[in-house]
Amino acid sequence: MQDGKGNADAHKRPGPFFQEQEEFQGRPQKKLHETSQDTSREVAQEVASPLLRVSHLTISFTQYERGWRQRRLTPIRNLSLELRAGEMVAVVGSSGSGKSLLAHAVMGLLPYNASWEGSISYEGQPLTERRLNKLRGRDIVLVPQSVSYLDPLMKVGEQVRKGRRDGESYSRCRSALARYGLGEETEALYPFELSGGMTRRVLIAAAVQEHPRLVIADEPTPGLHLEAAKRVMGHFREIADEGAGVLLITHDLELAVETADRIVVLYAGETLEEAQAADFRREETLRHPYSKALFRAMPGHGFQSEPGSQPYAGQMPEGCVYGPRCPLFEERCRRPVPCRSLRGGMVRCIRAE
Amino acid sequence: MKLEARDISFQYDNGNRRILNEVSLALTSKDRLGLLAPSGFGKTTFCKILAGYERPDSGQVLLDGRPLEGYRGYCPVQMIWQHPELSVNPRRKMKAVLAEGDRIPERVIRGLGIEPDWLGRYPGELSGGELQRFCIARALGERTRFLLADEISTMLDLVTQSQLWQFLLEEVKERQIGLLVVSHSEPLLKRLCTQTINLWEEQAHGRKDAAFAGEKWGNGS
Repeated sequence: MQDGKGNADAHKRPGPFFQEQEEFQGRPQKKLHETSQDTSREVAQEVASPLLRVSHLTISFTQYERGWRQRRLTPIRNLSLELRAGEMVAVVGSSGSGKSLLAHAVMGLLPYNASWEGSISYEGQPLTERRLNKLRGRDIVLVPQSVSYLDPLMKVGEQVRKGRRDGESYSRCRSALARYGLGEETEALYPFELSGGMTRRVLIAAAVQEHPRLVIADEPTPGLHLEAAKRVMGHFREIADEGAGVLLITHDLELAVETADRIVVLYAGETLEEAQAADFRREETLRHPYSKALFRAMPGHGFQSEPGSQPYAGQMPEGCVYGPRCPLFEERCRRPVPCRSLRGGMVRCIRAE
Repeated sequence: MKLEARDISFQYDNGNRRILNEVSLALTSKDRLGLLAPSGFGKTTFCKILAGYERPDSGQVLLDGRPLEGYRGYCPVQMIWQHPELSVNPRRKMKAVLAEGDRIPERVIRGLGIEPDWLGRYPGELSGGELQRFCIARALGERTRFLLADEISTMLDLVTQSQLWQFLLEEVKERQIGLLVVSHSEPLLKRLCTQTINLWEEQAHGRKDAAFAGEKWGNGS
């Protein structure tokens, strides 16, 4: 498997969003081979197919409106995404655009009233519930967004150790916490005794202390000061460089540009743009009007805000989801807008040039 | 009006170090003050003390020269918390959550982009960013005179963040509400505030013990 051949095949595989895969290589794939030869963790399918492939994912919720009347909301529509081993992909986008839902769908953590269509595969095989049960928490880990994911009645150390009491677990827990600047005394604290930033670091330490193959980090940096946030991102980058895949959900574009390979922009449950991370350094290299609006809204880049808000899942506009707010909107945007490739990336906009 | 903190010291009773050491600060209705410090340095604790949720071990919080705990009824100093999912009751619908505050002007609800449809939902059915808008609205009741914003926009996308702050800035200017902004983002504080103070630097002046310096993660620890 470690020969270049299998890998080359993977590049040619037509993915819904990756027709131009060669151009997407933010980091040289070679690196992966170098590291995978040093380490003993090698999986046969690793090179032959992407680590994670989400295709045509649609998630819908059933809600009761009044009495027995039901209605369906579809917060994610037709979303496709690929993540290769050794790669770090950042997902950015509006609040409530379904970023966390995407993470939860991959982890099999959707709530009872949700249903999903499409397919999710891990190392070339469909990610069934049975497989997930084996992989979750070991090979596939989630750094959850909400700090309420910690058990309020259990001390931090015990949660990071996942209840194990052997000597190895103790030392691993200690070094995982130390890696994120938390001392031994943290182990004896309950979650309510931690500050926001400390809780965030405990969540990360608990998730990545073993050697995961796929890390899904759902907004891991809020509450951390810049230096700490940079360190956390640096660790995720290391994990990716060691051959795992990292899917990073974030609002911090500046950090994402520095550390990720690719950036996917989500809005109202659809992918609007897929770009190389470096494209986000300048407004001109971006493709979609919404990505440009994100760029201009950065406090360091003008702090401009476009009027309007994301359409609510119950009342989606026809055609382009960004249409109602778009300065380039015209009549033909009312028809369904397909995804197309543009300048080495993907964009869901007929007017982008 | 003037909100004043005088020589506030505070230590949690779990044997940890003293996290606030004689911190003083004054805020008038026209001020927009930024507060910066690494995580775990007592920014949130300081806000809790200023809003009257926690009592300092020593020192005083004065509002127009009178101790804050002497005010009865609605507290004119309101705090917006860092984690919206932990600051609303999960078993109450959003409409009831909003009603926990003072009378809230319709303008605020519209300005924050709260959809009428969200009012009938439970907190678990909203995203973090959507929840936070309710928390902000809840703190902006008619009798609010000082607003403490503890990292309130980290869960928002950049466009929404800038929209929300532009609304909040206008609102506090118009109603003469004094604003304290806690954030880790210096560019953001630069945009919002008239002045920024670094809690860590302020505290470090008084004490130079190694344990304290080592706590600043990223500083060689």
